[in-house]
Amino acid sequence: MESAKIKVIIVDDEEPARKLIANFLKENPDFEIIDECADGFSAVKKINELQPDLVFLDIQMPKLTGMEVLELLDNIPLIVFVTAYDEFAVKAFELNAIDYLLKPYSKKRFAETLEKVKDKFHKKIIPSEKYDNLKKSINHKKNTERIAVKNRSKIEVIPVEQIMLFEAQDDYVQIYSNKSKYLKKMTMKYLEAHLNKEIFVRVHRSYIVNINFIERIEKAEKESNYIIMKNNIVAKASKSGYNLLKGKLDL
Amino acid sequence: MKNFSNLMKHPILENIWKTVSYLFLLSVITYFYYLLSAKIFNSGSSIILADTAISFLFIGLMNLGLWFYIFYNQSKSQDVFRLIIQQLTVSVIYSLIWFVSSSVALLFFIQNQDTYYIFLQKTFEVKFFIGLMIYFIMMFFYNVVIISKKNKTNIEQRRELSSMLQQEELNSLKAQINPHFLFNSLNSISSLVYDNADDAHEAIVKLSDYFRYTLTLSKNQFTKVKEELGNVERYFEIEKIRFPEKMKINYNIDSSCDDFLIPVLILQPIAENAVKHGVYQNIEKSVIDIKLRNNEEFYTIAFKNNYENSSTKAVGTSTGIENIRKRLRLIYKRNDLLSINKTENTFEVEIDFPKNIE
Repeated sequence: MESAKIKVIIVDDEEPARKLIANFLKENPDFEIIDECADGFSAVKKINELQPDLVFLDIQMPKLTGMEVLELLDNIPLIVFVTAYDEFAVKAFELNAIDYLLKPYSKKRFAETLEKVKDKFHKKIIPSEKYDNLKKSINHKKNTERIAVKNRSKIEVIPVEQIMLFEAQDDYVQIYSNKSKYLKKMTMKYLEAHLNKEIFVRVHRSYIVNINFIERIEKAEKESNYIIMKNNIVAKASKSGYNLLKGKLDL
Repeated sequence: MKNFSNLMKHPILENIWKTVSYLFLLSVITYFYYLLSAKIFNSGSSIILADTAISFLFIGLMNLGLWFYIFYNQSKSQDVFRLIIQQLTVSVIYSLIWFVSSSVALLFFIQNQDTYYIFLQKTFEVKFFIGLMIYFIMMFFYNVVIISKKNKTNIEQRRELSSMLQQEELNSLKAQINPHFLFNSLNSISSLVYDNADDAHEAIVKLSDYFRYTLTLSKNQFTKVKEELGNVERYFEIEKIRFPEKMKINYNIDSSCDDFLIPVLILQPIAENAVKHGVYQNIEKSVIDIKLRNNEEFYTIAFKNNYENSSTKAVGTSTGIENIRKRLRLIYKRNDLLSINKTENTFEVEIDFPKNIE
């Protein structure tokens, strides 16, 4: 009755750590390792490309953290997070009932995790809602330092100081950096809460501007204003947003 | 500043009970003075009453003011003879000021000038000695207050300092046992167990040696550079277990420097920094160059690592390196011993250890 094997990708920057998981998995015929990745960039690429059923995802990695990888996936598979030490992440995993392993872990714990995953796989449960909650709660840092985006097939990590403007577009946000623009699935509410309030001001329901890139402000009709950014990108400011901005700019 | 204002509080006026007790004691002395002057000068009690009232209003206020004089003129001199002369002079002046000021004030309540002069003549001696007595009582009292308050602040300061030191020690201990390093290393070793038991065994010994070195040495010791470099080498070897293909270490050591002394664990944070911004962040192979040179005035150690510029994290502002700068300043009293050279894709920390330590 058992259908196809569960396809696994292992993501960890440490070779012995990947090997350990591979060793443990070999003992279980239900799983098949289809690839291994040593950094966040290739992980996003491989997972989107190969569409595995299960990913062992290390959190601390070069280029992109495991959490940033999660943000960039088209379809989120089942994930077992692996970390050596991250109090915040572990708290969030517990809170959202997400599978995780703390390095080093026992064989027993690993086997239990596999059982849970197998169960979810056969019941076809992909807890995408839980992953969404995780994404929201994991950013314990007050000020986000960088945002990972996908530009066609290429992944870029943009430091927030280089971002001029965020513009809401339905479920997505258009991000204008000083070089290019990107679309990412996220909310203005999330951005407002996590961006550095010293330089980012929400001037409108649909706009958050970086005050360092403002060229000039022009009066529009009624009580709204246009904010002209570098490269002639225009944002709108509501009355209250304009007042907020005036306060920040000491006008 | 807080301690200072604490000391400044007037010991008599700081609470109502102290003020009441002071007034009570003052009135007892007043009463004796009244009896004494009534005995000496037996005609007309109105002048005695007026004098008593005025005198004790004055001395009461002067005593309160005396606190500030004593507080601001705390003698630092250890010369007992000078101290006695000084105190005697002040007491005489104090008593005279009291006598003169209260006598002048009394003038406003007197009709008969003759009686007034006779009264002053007769009571001068008594009043002068009572003035001296009060001065010495008050001086004694105030000094006791100052000493006890000082002791209290000293104890508080010492307590604060020791808790600060404990916190510092705890922090440095926590920093030494970097949990990421520890648990990731253990995880890699646990993987080695299945592949190669001998390697796993060696790795455990290395990890133990590393932590032993870190934990047993106290921060203000000096150690031979070869010991310190030995520990760094151990550290790199453990990281190499985690990243076998990813790191390469080049040593370029002038062995004539082997035995010179440097502050213990001063190289460790630099080694960690090189791994953190190199190996941990790079996808490609990381190279770390370690150079030790014997220069004229200094022994110079340099750690250089490559990093991939695409990683957005700022390199080189680590607290570990800032702490080293601080330690170097404390130990060698110099600010220019640590330098950082940064290029597009390399990062180098260089420390000059002076050969002559004062």
